[in-house]
Amino acid sequence: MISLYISGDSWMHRQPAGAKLLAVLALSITVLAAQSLIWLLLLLVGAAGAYNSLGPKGRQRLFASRFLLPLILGLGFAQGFIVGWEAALRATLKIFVMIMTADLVTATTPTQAILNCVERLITPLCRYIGRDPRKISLAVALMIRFIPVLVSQWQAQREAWFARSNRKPSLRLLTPFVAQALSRTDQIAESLQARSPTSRH
Amino acid sequence: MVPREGLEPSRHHWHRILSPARLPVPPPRRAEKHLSIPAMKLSRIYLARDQTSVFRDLSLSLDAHRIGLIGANGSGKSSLLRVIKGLITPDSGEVYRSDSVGIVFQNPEHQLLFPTVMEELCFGLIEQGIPKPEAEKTARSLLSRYHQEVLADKAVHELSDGQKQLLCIFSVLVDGAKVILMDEPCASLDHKSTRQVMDIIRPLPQQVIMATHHLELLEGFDRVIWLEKGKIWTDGEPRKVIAEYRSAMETI
Amino acid sequence: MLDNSAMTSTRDLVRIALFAALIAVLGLIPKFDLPFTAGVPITAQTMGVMLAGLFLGARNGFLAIVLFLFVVALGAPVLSGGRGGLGVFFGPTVGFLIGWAAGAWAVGEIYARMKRFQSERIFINALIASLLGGIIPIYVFGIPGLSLIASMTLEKAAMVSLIFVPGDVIKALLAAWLLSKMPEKVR
Repeated sequence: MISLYISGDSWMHRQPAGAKLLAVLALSITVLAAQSLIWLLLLLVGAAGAYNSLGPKGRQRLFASRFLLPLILGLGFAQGFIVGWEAALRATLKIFVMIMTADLVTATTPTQAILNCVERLITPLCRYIGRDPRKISLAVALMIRFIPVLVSQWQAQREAWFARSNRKPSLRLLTPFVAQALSRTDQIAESLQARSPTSRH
Repeated sequence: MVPREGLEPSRHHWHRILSPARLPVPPPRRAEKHLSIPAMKLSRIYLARDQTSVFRDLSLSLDAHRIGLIGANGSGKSSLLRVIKGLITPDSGEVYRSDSVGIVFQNPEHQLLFPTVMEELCFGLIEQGIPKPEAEKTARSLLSRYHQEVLADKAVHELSDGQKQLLCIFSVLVDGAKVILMDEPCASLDHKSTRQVMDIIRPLPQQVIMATHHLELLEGFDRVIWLEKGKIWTDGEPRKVIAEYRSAMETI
Repeated sequence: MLDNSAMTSTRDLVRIALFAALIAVLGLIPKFDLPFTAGVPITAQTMGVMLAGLFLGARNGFLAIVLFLFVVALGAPVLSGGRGGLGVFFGPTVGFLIGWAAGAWAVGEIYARMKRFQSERIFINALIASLLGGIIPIYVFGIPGLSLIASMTLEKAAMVSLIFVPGDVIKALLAAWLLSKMPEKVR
């Protein structure tokens, strides 16, 4: 499964997932309240540096985020007329810094680490309401497992469409797609149930 | 099993596999006229996918009425059928195809796009611009020609596996196909459904090109092509090619 | 013997995971261009919210969206356009994403109530549910979210966001239509 994690051994990689998540939250709150342009610019440069330290893939990621530019610059531009350029620049910088620092956490934290962290966090809550926290990992695994299955189903149905029509498939193709996807549910639930050692919640 | 007199041993053998509990029945001799269609042709096809070559300089003339396509998985059978139909465009080379080629895939679940039988049958015609009432008439008359009127007003999910595959074949016939390609049409069917499907396919006047692992289904075919890694390994008389293929499979 | 309640909860889990995967895949499908939308591309994925509520009901639909968003947060690039990761949740669209979860729940609830009144008119019920539940909550969460992250006033954020409502109306129509075309057992 393609993920946005970049493998490596940087300083950020070595920090525990929970700490990083907290840090991003704390940083975002600070950033939202920040007033100083210099401070925001420094953070931006710092974030860019962190991307750079991840190697070529990190630099690529930084470059790829240029697709966000139109949206954010557009927002900033729209603001500029009303609240003045300095405020608009400040707002734009804030968005960039927040997105980049959060994305850096994604880039330096493997999926499993975040999953474990989340599971640990909610275990006490789950015990309270009587549900199994491991269901989350199972749900995530199932969803990721199903994605390529559904993709190849879509491609097969798209092919079946082209076999009988010269036009591009319309939204009508969504009907058999969703119908077939949902009808898999029962078979899969049965095989899942068959593999659990005892029947429990 | 009581062997009927006058039957050749090999045909007896093939039929025993298809219907173990019944006496072997010879297939109807093809007394109906074949549709006369210009033979399709592939000329010097090159196709590469994911940086691997699928076909290199493949040329093929598809002139027989019943052509079988055999070969291991990955040999290119499915890609070949898709090139012939036009779902895949080769990187270079020429394809001379009839204007109405239909294709039936292995898994009816992926191929049937609509919830009711009528919608599925009429889809192709409606896409060709034919008004719905006329399309429905054509569809119903085709179903009655094959004594399958009972399917006409059903929902697709009510059909058995064999009936679903039949529906795929009927859809292609309703579209007016003169050539029917089949990519392992019976692979996901049991013996009874396979029989049902083959009984419909066998007497069809259209040209049929079938890729399959079930060598028994190619009984009575005019020509069998054995494809290996995108190249024609052997091509010719069915019994010969199939025997060669069988013995090659045994020595692996 | 299969424990009935365990079976149902397994089935629910599978349905939720499958629907979440469905929404991910809807993000991979290229945008459909409809002639009457004057060239505004419809992303199939945003319809997923309405579909979740209609097909799975309020609770499971909500959970399906939450699962989807969770996996996005984990780093899967399954948001339309190949986006994903935590960055998305700290950007201007975070409010809308939260709105998706609320919307799925709302669509499910409204549809269930409409069904209790008149179960025959599937398309109408689904349309009303999708229009009310699939649009209002999205903007109720989305606009303040945008206002906060992008340092905009609420009015400005509203102005910028509400342009997309006509597109959402079309999606509601499509979602309702899709449900009405489903074979009985799936519904």
